[in-house]
Amino acid sequence: MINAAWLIKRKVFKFIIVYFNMKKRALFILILLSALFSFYVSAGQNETMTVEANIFAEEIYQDIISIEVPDYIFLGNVSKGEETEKAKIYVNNTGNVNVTITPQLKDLSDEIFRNLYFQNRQTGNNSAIRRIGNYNFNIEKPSAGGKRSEYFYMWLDLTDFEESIIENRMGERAEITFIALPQN
Amino acid sequence: MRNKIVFALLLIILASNASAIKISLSPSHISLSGKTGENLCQNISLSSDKNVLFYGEDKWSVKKPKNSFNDYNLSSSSLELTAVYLKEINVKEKENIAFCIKAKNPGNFYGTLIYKSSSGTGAIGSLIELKISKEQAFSLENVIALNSIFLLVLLLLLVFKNYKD
Repeated sequence: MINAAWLIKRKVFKFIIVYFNMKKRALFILILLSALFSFYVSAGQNETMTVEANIFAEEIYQDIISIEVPDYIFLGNVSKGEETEKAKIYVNNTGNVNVTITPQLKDLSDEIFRNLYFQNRQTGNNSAIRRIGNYNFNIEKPSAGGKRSEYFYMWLDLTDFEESIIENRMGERAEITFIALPQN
Repeated sequence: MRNKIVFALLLIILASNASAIKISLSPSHISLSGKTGENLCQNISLSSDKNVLFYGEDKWSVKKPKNSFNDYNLSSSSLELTAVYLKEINVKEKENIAFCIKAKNPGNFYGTLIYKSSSGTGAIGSLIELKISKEQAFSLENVIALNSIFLLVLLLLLVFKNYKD
């Protein structure tokens, strides 16, 4: 009887020890993981600092795009239904790369100067006529640091101009830019 | 008669020289590569044989254009690129300036940096090739966050198991 009671007591005691051991282990793991979690969270919060720097590329080349263009171009006199004389425009490539020149009208809605036309040569294979916005021409790089000169023709063609010009417009001007870009 | 011809020729030569302007830009090609959000910079030099006020602008394309400026028809803001450079600069002989760019999205971008002279008809530009890769997806922050979530789940499972036992 005493033995049975002692056995029951022992089993209960063993159960309590095991139970508390497990609880302790769980508690230990809980504390450990909480500490780890809080460490990671705080580390994560510290990661939000922003570092910024300007990183400059190495200067390994000295290719230069350089052009010489006229300051001013006068196209002459013209009336509705006519076209001006073809002006021969010279552009010099003074850099060390091949360039493509694209004429661009600053005000694309300019009713007069949107009728500017271009042509590489007046005759032959290279004589296609193109309107401003669709024209560009190439100039090869000069040999041995000099300059290479190229020309094209430009004129104002009002033969198909539909608006009415009711008074003389002396000194009518438009801003045209000859944009030089290196060839790919 | 001969003097008159020489004088006329001299006048023509002088007049033609007076009405031309020489402008230069270096380098002609700008190649930059980096990650999204990274500030990438390049030094450029602008020069002129006259005192000229230049206006700068940049134009972009997502496809590699051929040789025409007209193919560059997008603004930097439309591609979520932030380009920082001097939009106006007075150049007496030569000026060195910085061109910096930051991209929000990865990809290849093709652009031009153009400087137009306020006097005259000239403008010069550099071609820009920008290669942007995505910022590393598994950064330290992301790994920490994932670890934390994993540990939290593990903890909950352990507590639940102990409670059940």
